[in-house]
Amino acid sequence: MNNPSWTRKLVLIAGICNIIALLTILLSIFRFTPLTLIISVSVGGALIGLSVLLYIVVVVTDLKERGVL
Amino acid sequence: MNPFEESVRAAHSGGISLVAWIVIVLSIVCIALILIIITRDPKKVSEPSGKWLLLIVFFIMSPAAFLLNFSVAIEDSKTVDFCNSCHVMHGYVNDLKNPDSEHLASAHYQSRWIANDQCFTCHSDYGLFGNMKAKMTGIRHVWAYYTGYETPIKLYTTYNNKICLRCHAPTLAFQEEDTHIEYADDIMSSKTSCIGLDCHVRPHPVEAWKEQ
Repeated sequence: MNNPSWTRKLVLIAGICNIIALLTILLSIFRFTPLTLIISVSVGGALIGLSVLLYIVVVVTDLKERGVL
Repeated sequence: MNPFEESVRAAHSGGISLVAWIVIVLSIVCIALILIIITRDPKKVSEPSGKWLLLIVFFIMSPAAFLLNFSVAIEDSKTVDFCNSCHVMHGYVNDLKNPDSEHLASAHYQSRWIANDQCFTCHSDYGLFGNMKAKMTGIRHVWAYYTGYETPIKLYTTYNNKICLRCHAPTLAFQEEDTHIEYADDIMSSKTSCIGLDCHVRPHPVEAWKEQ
Protein backbone atom coordinates (compact mmCIF):
# COMPACT_ATOMS: atom_id res chain seq x y z
CA MET A 1 0.00 0.00 0.00
CA ASN A 2 1.38 3.39 -0.97
CA ASN A 3 0.84 6.14 1.53
CA PRO A 4 0.59 9.58 -0.04
CA SER A 5 3.58 11.64 1.02
CA TRP A 6 1.34 14.12 2.84
CA THR A 7 -0.01 11.43 5.15
CA ARG A 8 3.57 10.52 6.08
CA LYS A 9 4.16 14.15 6.84
CA LEU A 10 1.05 14.17 8.99
CA VAL A 11 2.34 11.16 10.92
CA LEU A 12 5.66 12.93 11.37
CA ILE A 13 3.95 16.10 12.63
CA ALA A 14 1.71 14.04 14.93
CA GLY A 15 4.80 12.29 16.29
CA ILE A 16 6.63 15.55 16.92
CA CYS A 17 3.56 17.06 18.63
CA ASN A 18 3.23 13.98 20.79
CA ILE A 19 6.90 14.02 21.78
CA ILE A 20 6.75 17.72 22.72
CA ALA A 21 3.58 17.06 24.76
CA LEU A 22 5.21 14.19 26.61
CA LEU A 23 8.30 16.31 27.29
CA THR A 24 6.10 19.01 28.87
CA ILE A 25 4.54 16.30 31.05
CA LEU A 26 7.97 15.02 32.12
CA LEU A 27 9.08 18.59 32.81
CA SER A 28 6.10 19.15 35.11
CA ILE A 29 6.96 15.99 37.05
CA PHE A 30 10.64 16.79 37.56
CA ARG A 31 10.17 20.53 38.05
CA PHE A 32 6.71 21.03 39.50
CA THR A 33 5.89 24.75 39.45
CA PRO A 34 2.69 26.63 38.56
CA LEU A 35 4.13 27.47 35.13
CA THR A 36 5.22 23.94 34.21
CA LEU A 37 1.89 22.60 35.51
CA ILE A 38 -0.09 24.95 33.27
CA ILE A 39 2.15 24.27 30.28
CA SER A 40 1.81 20.51 30.70
CA VAL A 41 -1.96 20.71 31.11
CA SER A 42 -2.69 23.27 28.38
CA VAL A 43 0.07 22.98 25.76
CA GLY A 44 0.64 19.28 26.46
CA GLY A 45 -3.07 18.51 26.32
CA ALA A 46 -3.57 20.50 23.13
CA LEU A 47 -0.62 18.82 21.40
CA ILE A 48 -1.79 15.33 22.39
CA GLY A 49 -5.27 16.23 21.08
CA LEU A 50 -3.73 17.54 17.86
CA SER A 51 -1.65 14.40 17.34
CA VAL A 52 -4.76 12.25 17.84
CA LEU A 53 -6.68 14.33 15.28
CA LEU A 54 -3.84 14.19 12.75
CA TYR A 55 -3.57 10.44 13.13
CA ILE A 56 -7.34 10.07 12.69
CA VAL A 57 -6.96 11.89 9.35
CA VAL A 58 -4.18 9.47 8.40
CA VAL A 59 -6.24 6.42 9.40
CA VAL A 60 -9.35 7.66 7.54
CA THR A 61 -7.28 8.39 4.42
CA ASP A 62 -5.74 4.94 4.63
CA LEU A 63 -9.13 3.26 5.02
CA LYS A 64 -10.51 5.23 2.06
CA GLU A 65 -7.55 4.12 -0.05
CA ARG A 66 -8.31 0.53 0.84
CA GLY A 67 -11.97 1.04 -0.04
CA VAL A 68 -13.13 0.28 3.49
CA LEU A 69 -14.80 3.68 3.85
CA MET B 1 12.20 24.75 59.25
CA ASN B 2 12.38 22.67 62.44
CA PRO B 3 13.22 18.93 62.26
CA PHE B 4 9.66 17.86 63.16
CA GLU B 5 8.18 19.94 60.39
CA GLU B 6 10.84 18.61 58.02
CA SER B 7 9.95 15.01 58.91
CA VAL B 8 6.23 15.63 58.36
CA ARG B 9 6.99 17.31 55.06
CA ALA B 10 9.19 14.42 53.96
CA ALA B 11 6.51 11.91 54.93
CA HIS B 12 3.93 13.79 52.87
CA SER B 13 6.05 14.47 49.82
CA GLY B 14 7.76 11.05 49.68
CA GLY B 15 9.55 11.96 46.44
CA ILE B 16 7.97 10.93 43.18
CA SER B 17 4.73 8.99 43.63
CA LEU B 18 3.98 5.62 42.03
CA VAL B 19 1.53 7.21 39.59
CA ALA B 20 4.16 9.76 38.59
CA TRP B 21 6.61 6.90 37.95
CA ILE B 22 4.00 5.24 35.73
CA VAL B 23 3.66 8.53 33.81
CA ILE B 24 7.45 8.77 33.43
CA VAL B 25 7.75 5.20 32.12
CA LEU B 26 4.75 5.64 29.79
CA SER B 27 6.16 8.89 28.42
CA ILE B 28 9.63 7.49 27.82
CA VAL B 29 8.23 4.38 26.12
CA CYS B 30 5.97 6.55 23.92
CA ILE B 31 8.83 8.86 22.92
CA ALA B 32 11.09 5.88 22.17
CA LEU B 33 8.44 4.14 20.05
CA ILE B 34 7.66 7.29 18.07
CA LEU B 35 11.34 7.97 17.43
CA ILE B 36 12.02 4.36 16.42
CA ILE B 37 9.02 4.12 14.09
CA ILE B 38 9.21 7.56 12.50
CA THR B 39 12.89 8.40 12.36
CA ARG B 40 14.93 5.22 12.56
CA ASP B 41 12.72 3.10 10.35
CA PRO B 42 10.41 5.30 8.23
CA LYS B 43 9.18 2.29 6.24
CA LYS B 44 7.50 1.05 9.41
CA VAL B 45 5.02 3.92 9.13
CA SER B 46 3.54 2.20 6.09
CA GLU B 47 3.54 -1.26 7.63
CA PRO B 48 0.58 -2.53 9.65
CA SER B 49 2.74 -3.19 12.72
CA GLY B 50 4.03 0.40 12.71
CA LYS B 51 0.53 1.78 12.20
CA TRP B 52 -0.89 -0.25 15.05
CA LEU B 53 1.95 0.74 17.34
CA LEU B 54 1.44 4.42 16.54
CA LEU B 55 -2.30 3.99 17.03
CA ILE B 56 -1.69 2.57 20.50
CA VAL B 57 0.81 5.34 21.31
CA PHE B 58 -1.37 8.21 20.07
CA PHE B 59 -4.76 6.93 21.24
CA ILE B 60 -4.00 5.05 24.44
CA MET B 61 -0.54 5.53 25.94
CA SER B 62 -0.06 9.28 25.49
CA PRO B 63 -3.60 10.23 26.60
CA ALA B 64 -3.18 7.86 29.57
CA ALA B 65 0.10 9.58 30.52
CA PHE B 66 -1.58 12.97 30.19
CA LEU B 67 -4.62 12.03 32.29
CA LEU B 68 -2.56 10.34 35.01
CA ASN B 69 -0.23 13.34 35.17
CA PHE B 70 -3.24 15.65 35.27
CA SER B 71 -4.68 13.86 38.29
CA VAL B 72 -1.31 13.88 40.10
CA ALA B 73 -0.73 17.53 39.27
CA ILE B 74 -4.18 18.59 40.45
CA GLU B 75 -3.59 16.85 43.78
CA ASP B 76 -0.03 18.16 44.21
CA SER B 77 -1.07 21.71 43.38
CA LYS B 78 -3.05 21.85 46.64
CA THR B 79 0.04 21.82 48.84
CA VAL B 80 1.37 24.82 50.76
CA ASP B 81 4.78 24.32 49.12
CA PHE B 82 3.20 24.66 45.70
CA CYS B 83 1.53 27.95 46.69
CA ASN B 84 4.84 29.10 48.11
CA SER B 85 6.59 28.51 44.78
CA CYS B 86 5.33 31.96 43.72
CA HIS B 87 7.50 34.63 45.37
CA VAL B 88 4.53 36.81 46.24
CA MET B 89 3.29 34.08 48.58
CA HIS B 90 6.52 33.87 50.62
CA GLY B 91 5.34 36.44 53.17
CA TYR B 92 2.07 34.61 53.72
CA VAL B 93 3.68 31.19 54.10
CA ASN B 94 6.47 32.53 56.31
CA ASP B 95 3.80 33.96 58.59
CA LEU B 96 1.98 30.60 58.63
CA LYS B 97 5.14 29.00 60.01
CA ASN B 98 6.11 31.83 62.35
CA PRO B 99 5.57 30.63 65.96
CA ASP B 100 5.19 34.23 67.14
CA SER B 101 2.45 35.02 64.65
CA GLU B 102 -0.99 35.78 66.04
CA HIS B 103 -2.75 35.69 62.70
CA LEU B 104 -5.68 33.39 62.12
CA ALA B 105 -4.15 31.40 59.27
CA SER B 106 -0.99 30.82 61.29
CA ALA B 107 -2.99 29.49 64.24
CA HIS B 108 -4.85 27.10 61.93
CA TYR B 109 -1.59 25.95 60.35
CA GLN B 110 0.55 25.57 63.48
CA SER B 111 -2.16 23.91 65.56
CA ARG B 112 -2.98 21.72 62.56
CA TRP B 113 -6.66 22.58 62.87
CA ILE B 114 -6.40 21.95 59.16
CA ALA B 115 -4.21 18.88 58.71
CA ASN B 116 -2.90 19.41 55.17
CA ASP B 117 -3.18 21.70 52.14
CA GLN B 118 -4.03 24.64 54.40
CA CYS B 119 -3.93 27.36 51.69
CA PHE B 120 -6.19 25.39 49.39
CA THR B 121 -8.62 24.41 52.14
CA CYS B 122 -9.31 28.03 53.12
CA HIS B 123 -9.26 29.39 49.59
CA SER B 124 -11.57 26.97 47.80
CA ASP B 125 -15.33 26.81 47.99
CA TYR B 126 -17.11 23.69 49.10
CA GLY B 127 -17.65 20.70 46.80
CA LEU B 128 -16.46 19.70 43.34
CA PHE B 129 -17.33 23.02 41.72
CA GLY B 130 -15.51 24.81 44.52
CA ASN B 131 -12.39 22.83 43.69
CA MET B 132 -12.75 23.54 39.97
CA LYS B 133 -13.36 27.22 40.63
CA ALA B 134 -10.24 27.33 42.82
CA LYS B 135 -8.21 25.73 40.03
CA MET B 136 -9.50 28.23 37.47
CA THR B 137 -8.65 31.05 39.85
CA GLY B 138 -5.21 29.48 40.27
CA ILE B 139 -4.65 29.66 36.51
CA ARG B 140 -5.70 33.32 36.66
CA HIS B 141 -3.15 33.85 39.45
CA VAL B 142 -0.34 32.28 37.44
CA TRP B 143 -1.26 34.45 34.46
CA ALA B 144 -1.23 37.54 36.68
CA TYR B 145 2.06 36.43 38.26
CA TYR B 146 3.86 36.44 34.92
CA THR B 147 2.06 39.35 33.28
CA GLY B 148 1.85 41.69 36.25
CA TYR B 149 -0.56 42.33 39.09
CA GLU B 150 -1.65 45.18 41.30
CA THR B 151 -0.33 45.53 44.81
CA PRO B 152 -1.32 45.19 47.54
CA ILE B 153 -2.76 41.88 46.44
CA LYS B 154 -6.27 41.19 47.65
CA LEU B 155 -9.12 38.75 47.17
CA TYR B 156 -11.26 39.16 44.04
CA THR B 157 -14.44 39.14 46.12
CA THR B 158 -15.51 39.19 49.75
CA TYR B 159 -14.32 36.10 51.59
CA ASN B 160 -17.02 33.45 51.69
CA ASN B 161 -17.86 32.68 55.35
CA LYS B 162 -19.17 29.26 54.31
CA ILE B 163 -15.55 28.14 53.98
CA CYS B 164 -15.08 28.81 57.71
CA LEU B 165 -18.50 27.39 58.54
CA ARG B 166 -17.96 24.01 56.90
CA CYS B 167 -15.62 23.16 59.80
CA HIS B 168 -16.80 25.52 62.55
CA ALA B 169 -20.59 25.44 62.15
CA PRO B 170 -21.03 21.87 63.45
CA THR B 171 -18.99 22.54 66.61
CA LEU B 172 -20.73 23.24 69.91
CA ALA B 173 -18.31 26.03 70.77
CA PHE B 174 -19.41 27.87 67.63
CA GLN B 175 -23.12 27.16 68.04
CA GLU B 176 -23.21 28.26 71.68
CA GLU B 177 -21.51 31.60 71.05
CA ASP B 178 -24.10 34.37 71.53
CA THR B 179 -22.70 36.59 68.76
CA HIS B 180 -22.92 33.76 66.26
CA ILE B 181 -26.55 33.15 67.20
CA GLU B 182 -27.40 36.85 67.00
CA TYR B 183 -25.81 37.35 63.59
CA ALA B 184 -26.44 33.86 62.21
CA ASP B 185 -28.11 35.01 58.97
CA ASP B 186 -25.51 37.66 58.27
CA ILE B 187 -22.69 35.23 58.96
CA MET B 188 -24.14 32.52 56.74
CA SER B 189 -24.76 34.93 53.87
CA SER B 190 -21.27 36.50 54.29
CA LYS B 191 -22.98 39.85 54.83
CA THR B 192 -20.91 40.12 57.99
CA SER B 193 -17.34 38.88 57.73
CA CYS B 194 -15.96 36.53 60.38
CA ILE B 195 -12.76 38.56 60.23
CA GLY B 196 -12.22 42.07 61.49
CA LEU B 197 -14.45 44.39 63.54
CA ASP B 198 -14.66 42.90 67.03
CA CYS B 199 -14.76 39.30 65.85
CA HIS B 200 -11.64 37.41 64.70
CA VAL B 201 -8.12 38.61 63.96
CA ARG B 202 -6.82 39.00 60.41
CA PRO B 203 -5.82 35.77 58.65
CA HIS B 204 -2.57 37.17 57.24
CA PRO B 205 -0.29 40.16 57.89
CA VAL B 206 -1.48 43.24 55.97
CA GLU B 207 1.86 43.71 54.25
CA ALA B 208 2.78 40.06 53.69
CA TRP B 209 2.87 40.60 49.93
CA LYS B 210 5.87 42.91 50.35
CA GLU B 211 8.04 40.09 51.68
CA GLN B 212 9.22 38.36 48.50
